[in-house]
Amino acid sequence: MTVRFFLLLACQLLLALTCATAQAAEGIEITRASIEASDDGYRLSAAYAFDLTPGLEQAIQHGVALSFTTEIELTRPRWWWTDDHAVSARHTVKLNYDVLLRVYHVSVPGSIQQNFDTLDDALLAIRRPARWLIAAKGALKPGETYNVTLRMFMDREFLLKPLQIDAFNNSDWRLASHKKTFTYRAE
Amino acid sequence: MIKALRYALVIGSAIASILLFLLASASSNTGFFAHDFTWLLGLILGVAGALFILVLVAFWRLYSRYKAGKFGSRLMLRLMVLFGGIGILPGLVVFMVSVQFVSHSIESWFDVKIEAALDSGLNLSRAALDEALVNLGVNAGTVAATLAGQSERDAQAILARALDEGNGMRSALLLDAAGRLVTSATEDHRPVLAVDLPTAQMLKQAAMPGGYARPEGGIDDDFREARGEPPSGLDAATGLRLRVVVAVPEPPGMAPRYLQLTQGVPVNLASNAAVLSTAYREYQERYAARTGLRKMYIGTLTLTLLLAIFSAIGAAFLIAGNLAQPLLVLAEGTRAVAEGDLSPRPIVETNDELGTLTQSFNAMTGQLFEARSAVERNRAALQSAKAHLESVLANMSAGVIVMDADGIVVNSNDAVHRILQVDVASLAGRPLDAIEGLEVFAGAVTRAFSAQSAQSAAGRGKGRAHWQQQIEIPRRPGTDDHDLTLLARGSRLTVGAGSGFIVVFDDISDVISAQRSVAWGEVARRLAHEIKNPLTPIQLSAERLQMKLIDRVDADGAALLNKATDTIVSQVSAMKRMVDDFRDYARTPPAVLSPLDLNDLIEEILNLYLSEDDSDVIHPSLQPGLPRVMGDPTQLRQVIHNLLQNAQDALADRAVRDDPPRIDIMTEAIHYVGADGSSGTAVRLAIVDNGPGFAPKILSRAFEPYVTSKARGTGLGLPMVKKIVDEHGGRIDVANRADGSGASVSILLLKLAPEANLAEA
Repeated sequence: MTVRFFLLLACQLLLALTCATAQAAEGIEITRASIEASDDGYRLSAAYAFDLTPGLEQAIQHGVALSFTTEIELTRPRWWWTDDHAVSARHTVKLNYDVLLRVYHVSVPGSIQQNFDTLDDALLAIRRPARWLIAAKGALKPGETYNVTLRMFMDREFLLKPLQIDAFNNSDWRLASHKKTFTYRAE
Repeated sequence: MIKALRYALVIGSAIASILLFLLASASSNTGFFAHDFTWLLGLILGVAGALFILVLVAFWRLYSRYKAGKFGSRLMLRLMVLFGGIGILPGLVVFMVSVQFVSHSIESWFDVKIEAALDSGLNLSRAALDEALVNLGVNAGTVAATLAGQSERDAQAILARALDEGNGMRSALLLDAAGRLVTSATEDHRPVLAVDLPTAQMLKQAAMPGGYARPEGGIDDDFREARGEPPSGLDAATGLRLRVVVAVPEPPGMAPRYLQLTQGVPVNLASNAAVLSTAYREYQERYAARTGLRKMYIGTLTLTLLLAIFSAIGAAFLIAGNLAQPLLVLAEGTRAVAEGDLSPRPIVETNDELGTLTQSFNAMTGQLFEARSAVERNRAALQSAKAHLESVLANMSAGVIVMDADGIVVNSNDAVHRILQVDVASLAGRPLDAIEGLEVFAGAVTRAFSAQSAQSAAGRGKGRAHWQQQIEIPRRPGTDDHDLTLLARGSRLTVGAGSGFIVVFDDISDVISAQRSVAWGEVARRLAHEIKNPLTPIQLSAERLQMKLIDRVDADGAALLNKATDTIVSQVSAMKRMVDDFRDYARTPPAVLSPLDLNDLIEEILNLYLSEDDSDVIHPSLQPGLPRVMGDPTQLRQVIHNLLQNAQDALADRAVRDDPPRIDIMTEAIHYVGADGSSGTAVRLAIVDNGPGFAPKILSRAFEPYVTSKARGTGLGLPMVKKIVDEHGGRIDVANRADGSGASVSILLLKLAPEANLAEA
């Protein structure tokens, strides 16, 4: 009897977990993603398609800053050992609205901030970001094939803590993509 | 409850407390655990779940014990519910109040008035900026009109004048169509920076009617955040500026030129506007986060409540278990005592009444144990005494019968069985006279007891508490038993309140037989003496008659006389011989013992019997090296003669059978252990025939004189043998052979010659 009870409990937990993961991955679609080799290193060229949820849009209009983080990971499978984590990079773009000046700022840490008059323009800059240097020239071995995992999401870590908690079970505050995987043959 | 469960509950509660403290710390809006907040929450949920499962398991155990009706489970359940209730109810009340409080207070922080005030403030700031911008635009329009058509140098002067006139003007630039700097005037004559130049987009907008007019933000937010400093009004004041770009209305034919004026926003306006916008943003942020805040508080409270409840239930289990444990120990103890186990129980180490209770319980079981072992010891002692008594009774040669007042046999020993030939088991529980074969015995005993009762009633037999009587029991018809002569003694037995009878008896048939043979000896001696005296005169008179009258009578008369005389003489001599036999039997001369070799003696006698051919019926089987015995050769010779004669007579009487007649005469040395434990040696002489054997009636009285089975026997042969053997200190035993064919007589000579004993030693 006890065993059955625990089994039931475990099933419930599993179900809840699956639902949570499914809910977490919604909203952002990665429409294009490729890695290009350039003179100074490897760059990610990607495009995303998403719309802000009404809650997020309202928050933006009221001056709450949102951050969008892109995570990329390049791994090389090794049959004789664990996978080689060649590259693991994060890239955060911050979007905020200056309520006084009525201007949208899109800024990437370490580079100049862009100003946009409309939200759509600002979002366009996020949806189609500039090519981003993910790794230096020597980080990948030419000729090897790597598994690339790409993910883009609204980063809740930059929010206020209560908002983070609210986001646990409020779909208004969730915006994330599925993990997109593709292979890349290093040049 | 299992110990592990207890420890798990205690440890789980401790961990939960620590986690709750961390959660409370993290909930306050500091950077503490900013990133691990989710993990912390999950951990707490996990611990709460584990505690919940533990509590469930504990409940389930308790429930199953309760269902099974185990002792102590009811008490445990009651204590559990009590303690759990005490723990849970106040927690619930505090929780309810807190939840209400939190929900209402959070909602009350955000009200419409504050929001409206902030909105208004923001609008006011925007309006102020707009107004400044409009002024600057008007100013720019004027300057642009002045600049129209002017040469570069004139333009420089106009720009410088405009810069001086304008309030807080930073720079005035004249640019060509491509946005390149034509001429400029700057505050404090600073060099023109790249940031000051308008972008192509701005120029495009400037070409439109109305031109470009925007306030521009100060220093990059990220730059500020990177330094970790809070934004201040001064920062905003240095950064915030107004920029107006307008096309110079050039006369036709000239290349288009643009004028840009930048003006710093007044410091107090800029700083106030910055503070206001920051406040607005933060307010909006918090407004958006208010549900999250409530969730956080209520979640923390709920988790606290859950942990508190589970801990309370766990603690209740522990306390109830501690309280119930001594009772369970006692219950175990009583069950064990009921099953007979009186070993001491583990003592509960407390100073309270429960500890005292278990201690006194142990003392009680200890006393019980003492009492029971004392009883056990007494019983064992009684049993061994009884066993001793019974073995004494069983090994007595005399028969003992114990009866109760109604004459029913209570107890009897093995000797009764041996003497009376009845089954001991059939005796017990039955009246004596109801037992088959004991009617005569029972009658005699009953009469004897009656007589004693009468005697004691008459008051004459005060001195004697028992009677003694000789009882003759006739041979049972149909069996070979001889008559029994018993010497019985009876006495009344006083056992407790009731009374009984005890009869002790001995088989004295042998004693009687011995007495009879002594009496016969005496009779024979006197009779012989009395008869022998007249015999000689009778013989002499008859011979004298013959001698004197033989000549006086005729031939017939002489023949008659001779015949009569011969008859008298022969009969007298026969009578004499008989009388001599009597005398010999009655007065055997004392044996003169001297060492002799029995084998030599037997061989010497056998010379007379054996013809050394196949017709011999006597087969000697003499053990060589036989020790010499002390004996009278003459008397022993007579013994052997008598026995061989008997055997031969018996063979003559035997019926015709297949096997040839045979007499075995054997000697052997026998080693035995005496009553004092010393070993001794005896010599055995056995004469065995295969004749008809002794008749039962004869067998028991074989050694009495004139008991004979032969037509022409004096009946003195075996009595003589017995007498001689007795004089030699030996034993004689007559018996029929086990297979019923023939008799065997064996003589045991115990007195050996001294040198033989020495040699043995």
